[in-house]
Amino acid sequence: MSHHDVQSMLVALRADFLDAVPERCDQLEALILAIEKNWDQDKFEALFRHVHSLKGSGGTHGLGIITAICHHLENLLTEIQPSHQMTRPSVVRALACADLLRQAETEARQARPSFTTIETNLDRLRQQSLASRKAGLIAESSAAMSHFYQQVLSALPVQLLVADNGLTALEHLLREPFDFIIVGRELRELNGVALISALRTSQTRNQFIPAFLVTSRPDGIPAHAGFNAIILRDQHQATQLRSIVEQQVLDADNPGI
Amino acid sequence: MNSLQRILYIEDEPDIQAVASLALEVVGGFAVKICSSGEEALREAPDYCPELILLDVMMPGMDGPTTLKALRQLSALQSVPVVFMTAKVQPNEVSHYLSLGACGVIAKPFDPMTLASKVQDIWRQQNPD
Repeated sequence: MSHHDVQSMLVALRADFLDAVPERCDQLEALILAIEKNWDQDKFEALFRHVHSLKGSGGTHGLGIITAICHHLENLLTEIQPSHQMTRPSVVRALACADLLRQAETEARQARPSFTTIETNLDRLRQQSLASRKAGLIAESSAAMSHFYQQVLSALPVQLLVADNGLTALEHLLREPFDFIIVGRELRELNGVALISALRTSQTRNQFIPAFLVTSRPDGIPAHAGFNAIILRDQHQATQLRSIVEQQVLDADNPGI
Repeated sequence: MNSLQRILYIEDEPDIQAVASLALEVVGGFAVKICSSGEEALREAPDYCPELILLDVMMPGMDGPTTLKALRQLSALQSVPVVFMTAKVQPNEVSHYLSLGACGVIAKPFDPMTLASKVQDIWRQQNPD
């Protein structure tokens, strides 16, 4: 069998794959909308497998654009999985990926396909994902607690930076923009109360960002210390921390103090 | 040197199975048996007596590393060379797969026109003159 014959067979297999793409997109969309209504782990896993399968097949047929779109969608799904809910913005982004897949399928059938427009739109989606993330600073001297906060917030669209002492945290706050800060009270070098007092008088762009204190000793914290919430270190701290970040950072414009 | 003839390919994705079959059977001239899961491979492999196994890493149910471990428990397959096929081919990832007992890693997506020669190269490394 000649090289040409093999190429013809590959082209035929690719055409079969492209024929199936619209139906596969229908299935993707149906799963996304079903999961938006009611979280269902089995449906979510089916959706993830579906996207992964399209990604692998697209790559095998030389359609890198399909692989790239699916890769972005996989990342989106990986981000939302721990929260067990598909929010409207996530649904909109996931459906936008399905739209791009349909466009890619149509374009791939052209004699000289150009995926430039689709790549540009995919870049926009990527940028939207990044822009929608809120920047948080964790100021905590215990590595175990820092890791715990990161785990608790891993499902949320946040980017976290960790500082393991108060002075380092203050340096970050004076230099870089943040949307919120989580502070341990017993911070080395500069304790949590002193850190936030310094921040509130700093006249920087971070001056009024929400600040959440996590402590096992909530007593004796002055009312004017500048915390938006005090989270007690107990069995509810994970739920409480996540809920406060969702309400005061993600669901609202910066409320200040 | 023994020439490679029988390959067992374990891959869950039908599109990839079809392209790999073409690449290995038509381009490479090998005899290929395809299994769609690790579980199916465990049932079918002993009777097929493959000389080399190509194994997808990410599969629902039994993934590639789990399948490899289970295959090694079967006396007929203890020493059959296994090559992982995966999109994860960063140096540390490749090292990890080799540490599990694979003799090679082939990157996905693969080029259908050169897949057979890559498999042949790995086979030659395992079976030098």
